[in-house]
Amino acid sequence: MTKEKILVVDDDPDISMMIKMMLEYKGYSVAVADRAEIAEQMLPADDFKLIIMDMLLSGSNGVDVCMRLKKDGQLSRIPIIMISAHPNAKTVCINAGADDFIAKPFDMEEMLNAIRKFV
Amino acid sequence: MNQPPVLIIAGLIINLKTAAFLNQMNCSSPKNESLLDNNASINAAPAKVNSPNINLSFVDKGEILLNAVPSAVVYIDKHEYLKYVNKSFENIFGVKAVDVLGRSVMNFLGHDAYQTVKGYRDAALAGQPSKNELEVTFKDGKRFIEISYTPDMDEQNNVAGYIVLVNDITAKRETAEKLERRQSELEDYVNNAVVGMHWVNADGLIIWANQAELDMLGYSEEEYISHHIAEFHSHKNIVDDILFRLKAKERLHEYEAELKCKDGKTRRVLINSNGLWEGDKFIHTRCFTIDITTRKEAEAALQESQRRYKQLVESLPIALYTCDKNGYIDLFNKAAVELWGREPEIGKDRWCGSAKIFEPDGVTPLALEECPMAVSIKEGRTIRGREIIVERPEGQKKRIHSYPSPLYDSKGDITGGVNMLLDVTDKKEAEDKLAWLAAIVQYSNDPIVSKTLDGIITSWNEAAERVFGYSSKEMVGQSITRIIPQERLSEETLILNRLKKGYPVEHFETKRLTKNNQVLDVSLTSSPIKDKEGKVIGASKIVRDITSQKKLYEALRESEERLRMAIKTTNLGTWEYYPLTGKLSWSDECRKIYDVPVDMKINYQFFSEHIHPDDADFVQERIEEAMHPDLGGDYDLQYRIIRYSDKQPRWIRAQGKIYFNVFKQAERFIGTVVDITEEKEIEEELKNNVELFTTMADNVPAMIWMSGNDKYSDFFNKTWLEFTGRTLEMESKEGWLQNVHPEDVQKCIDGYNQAFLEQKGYYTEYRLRRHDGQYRWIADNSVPRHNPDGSFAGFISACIDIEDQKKARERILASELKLKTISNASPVGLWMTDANGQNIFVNDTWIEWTDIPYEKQLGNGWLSKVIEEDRITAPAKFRECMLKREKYSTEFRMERSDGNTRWCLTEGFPYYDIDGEFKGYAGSVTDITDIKKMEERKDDFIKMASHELKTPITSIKGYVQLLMSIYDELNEEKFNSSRSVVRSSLQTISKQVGKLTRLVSELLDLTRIESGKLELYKTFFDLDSLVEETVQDVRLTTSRHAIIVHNNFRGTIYGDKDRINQVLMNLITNAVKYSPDADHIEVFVTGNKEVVTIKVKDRGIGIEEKDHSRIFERFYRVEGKSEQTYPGFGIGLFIAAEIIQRHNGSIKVESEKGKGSEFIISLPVKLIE
Repeated sequence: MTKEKILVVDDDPDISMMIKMMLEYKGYSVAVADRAEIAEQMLPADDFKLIIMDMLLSGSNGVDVCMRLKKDGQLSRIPIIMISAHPNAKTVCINAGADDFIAKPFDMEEMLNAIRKFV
Repeated sequence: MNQPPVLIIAGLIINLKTAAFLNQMNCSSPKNESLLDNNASINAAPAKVNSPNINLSFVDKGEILLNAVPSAVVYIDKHEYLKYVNKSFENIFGVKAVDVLGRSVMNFLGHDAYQTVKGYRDAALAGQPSKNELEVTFKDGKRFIEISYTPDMDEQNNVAGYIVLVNDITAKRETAEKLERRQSELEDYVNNAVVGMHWVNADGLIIWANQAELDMLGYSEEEYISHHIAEFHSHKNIVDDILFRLKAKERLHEYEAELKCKDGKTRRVLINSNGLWEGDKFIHTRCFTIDITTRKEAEAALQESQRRYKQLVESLPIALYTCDKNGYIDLFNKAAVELWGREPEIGKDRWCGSAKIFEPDGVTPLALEECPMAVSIKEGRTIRGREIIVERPEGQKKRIHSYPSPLYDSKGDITGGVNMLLDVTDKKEAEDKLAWLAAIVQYSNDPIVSKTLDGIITSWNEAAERVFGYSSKEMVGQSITRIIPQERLSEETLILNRLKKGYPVEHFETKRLTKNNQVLDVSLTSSPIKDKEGKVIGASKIVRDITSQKKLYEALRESEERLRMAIKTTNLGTWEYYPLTGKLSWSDECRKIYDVPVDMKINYQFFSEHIHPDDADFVQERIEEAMHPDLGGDYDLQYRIIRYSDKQPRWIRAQGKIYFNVFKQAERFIGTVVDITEEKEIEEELKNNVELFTTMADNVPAMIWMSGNDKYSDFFNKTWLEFTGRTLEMESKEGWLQNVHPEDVQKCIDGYNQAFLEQKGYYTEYRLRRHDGQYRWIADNSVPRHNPDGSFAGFISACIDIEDQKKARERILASELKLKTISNASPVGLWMTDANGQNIFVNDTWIEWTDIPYEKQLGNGWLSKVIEEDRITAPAKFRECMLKREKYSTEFRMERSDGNTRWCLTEGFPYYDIDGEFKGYAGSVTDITDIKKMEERKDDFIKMASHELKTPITSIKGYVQLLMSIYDELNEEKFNSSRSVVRSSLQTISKQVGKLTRLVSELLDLTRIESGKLELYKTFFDLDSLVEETVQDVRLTTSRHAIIVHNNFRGTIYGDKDRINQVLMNLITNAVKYSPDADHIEVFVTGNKEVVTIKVKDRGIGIEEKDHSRIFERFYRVEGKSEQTYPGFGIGLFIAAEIIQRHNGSIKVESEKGKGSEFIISLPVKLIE
């Protein structure tokens, strides 16, 4: 069985590494990008099934990236789960076209359940 | 899962779940545990028991924060139950938490109070935060509170409850009210001052005027303010002069000017003004205008009245003059000068304008001291028509009737006298001649006859009666031919023809017939009678027996004609009375004066009855006197008669002569009578006018003095004398100077002398002692007086007591200054509007902020520096409030003079005048930029704290759950293969826990600092080893940077070792963090016996200079793209600075953007007590 590819975008390596380890342990193939620009370069080159992205990226804002991706014909089909420590971020992210939102800190089950909806 | 409730305390958000985590962290640290001991009571906090919905472990630690804030904090769930209260809540509401937790809000507040806050609750439950101010009655009295509601949203954006913060803002409110009162006081002083004020800028434009000034001139603000000051001055040269002087930095004191009112009138004002300068730049003038119109008008009115009376007196055809009580002539008219033939010298001539005067006989000299004026003044009585002769300088003598009358002041004291002189010279001479001629005619032994040119007899004397036998009655009106014999009639035609040509016929001898036809030989002398124009209108004829004294007859005849002519051509009535027979005859003129018909019979009784009853006794008495043979028989009386026709009283002058027979009996009266009513009326009028003038002078509210051309003041009116409480004698000459304040005497003398020399009016102020001994300021305004010929006659002055005015002015100036100082010293901007919302005042503080000159601030000018978005909204809000007369409060942004945008909070309240009429708004502007910035920074901090704390927790939580998942793995093989994952997870967890610990420590330090509970545990320690230990610790965390220590200080210092360690750690980790591209950090330690300096130097990104001083501020983070990536709270340096300051040391930074930074700490080595 081929592993489904997931792209994790977070500028904090502690978070992205944690998610990577967690998801790899659960059998997914995980790529990590610490900046939106890198993520946008990586996306067309590979067949990602899901994007997990922090809302407040340094450099390009995660919300802006989300909006941009959702306007892109090809890439708009990839589901995006936004994550944030900001308490009121959910509305903003959903409005920006995110398919789901998970607040930090999250439970592993919560994350896996969300992923399973799309992958 | 519910989003945990968030408490906002003084800008700090504690995520309850995070706090719970912190709790665990802190519990593991014994050091921090000891801090908690200081707040041991929190362990007993009832919230722990009574708030099952809140994570209990949070409460223990959160209490530290919550109890530290001065605001009452209460958490209420959406079912309206109180779930949590802090210490301040207990204190403010005077309750115990145990008693209120779990109770419903309504139960706690009671029905009424609950109704008040219901609205806020509803809003909060709808997700709307609110902040309101309420007045609340507590046990200890009324307080103002600020109550804010913050909804607590769960993750689904549903309201879980709400947090209420209560702040006691009573003190703040009281301060605001006090400020407001001050403001209204200032307004009162400025506007209700009796003194007008206006400010004029360098261009001459009026930039402000107070209400008193506007009221004085009748303009509205629009009509006055922003106009050029010259528009309102009557005299252009005056306003030019004023502006010139002010620009020359001169100060104007009581500068007199005339301002134009709206209604076209003018106001006289005294302007006190000085320019306001900033360095050499003329900003504006401050002019105080004192309305002296009334004073000026009173002066002018007085002068006018003075002038009017003077004119009246001067224009009187009757000679008139006045003397003071010492006899010095002080006023005289032209007629008097003509009569005297000279002009008396004021202050020198006394009693009479002629130096030589005589009794009526023309030869007996009369001493001046005994002249009628002197008698009148000295004896205080009016004299009517005393006859004297005055000799003019060229020697001509004038017979005059003098009518002197004393003048009194209001107290009834004689102040002088007025004398009216009637020139009777010509009249008297005519009268004398007439009397004489009449006598001659009547008593001539020669018949004297006058006739018209037609020969009709017009008079027939006694001698004619005797000689010719015809009575006068028989002959008057008859033709002269009656006595001419038939054969002599042709002679008469010749005579008449000759007479008609104007030639006399002298000594013409002829014959005449008597009544009994006896022929007489007579010598005729006949003369033509000419009228004024010289036309022959008749003839007189003296008939003389040839043997008689021819010449006498001729003379008589001539005289008789003259007499008749005189009688005819004047209004002089003549009469004759024979007391022995009772026969009384009146001439036609006499009848005309009494207005009785020509045919009515007149007797002595008629005469007596028509004397005015008031004068009857006096006339009778005088006539009886005159009838005494030894007294000469002459009389000359003026009295009133009752005119027959209309019963009106008329003044007449009757002169008479009494002839006595050999038995010394009064045998015959002859006399003249003339109607002098008109003269009398003029005399009366004049007298009244003089009295009126005196009364007026005495009753003017001004104190009046008058001086003559001798320089001496000799008139002081009643008002003056009452003021000084002295008599005219005391004040006269220079006596009044005794009452002038010693310091002002010289000024008075100099001013007066100068004015006297120049003969110009002058204004002065001096202190004059009042009757009660008090010195009062007097405004003395003198104008020169002039004689009718234009020569200088001295001064007249009106003085006004201006003490109160002056005092009031000084008081106003003092209080104005005081209030202005208060206003301008105020750290907040102050403003005022008129009732139309137009700005009318701003203080210097505001002017300084905006850098808009005062005049441009007025109206809507202040708005020009407000940034565009707020320029519409701020005034709109104001208008809305003004309509409702509500408190105005809004925030706006403004471009400050230094280019910075500043946030301003303005608050204003309506103010009213004493009648309760709305006059405008007064308020203040506070610069709240720092507060705003702080709020923004707090918001940023909250976001960051949330992020910073959540990130390690997210990471830890993730790993822990991953580890649990591995631990729960049933597949042995998979479990074993995950060993590396487990190890790496635990490493990361450890790292993240360390990071969290640091963050939490910082957070707690911040809380301690803010609540003043940061305590130091000082000991002596070795700095050298501390630096080495710290550097070692940091070295463990960085692989990229070498940390090089240069230490040349060896020794111990006294301080909190852990805290100094914390500071060093912070500085070095910062140096590492902010120099990602550098490879080493340097630490320098230098020192002496006094002070030790630790320098941490990196070659990192550096800090811009504008941020140097601010990086030590709480929550301050350098703004910029690249800095965003550096994690941390932004409070490390704040805490470091606080610690160093508590050690009496100092911390500073030297840095250049892009080149690196150097943080320098200095600490005292010695123990500082």
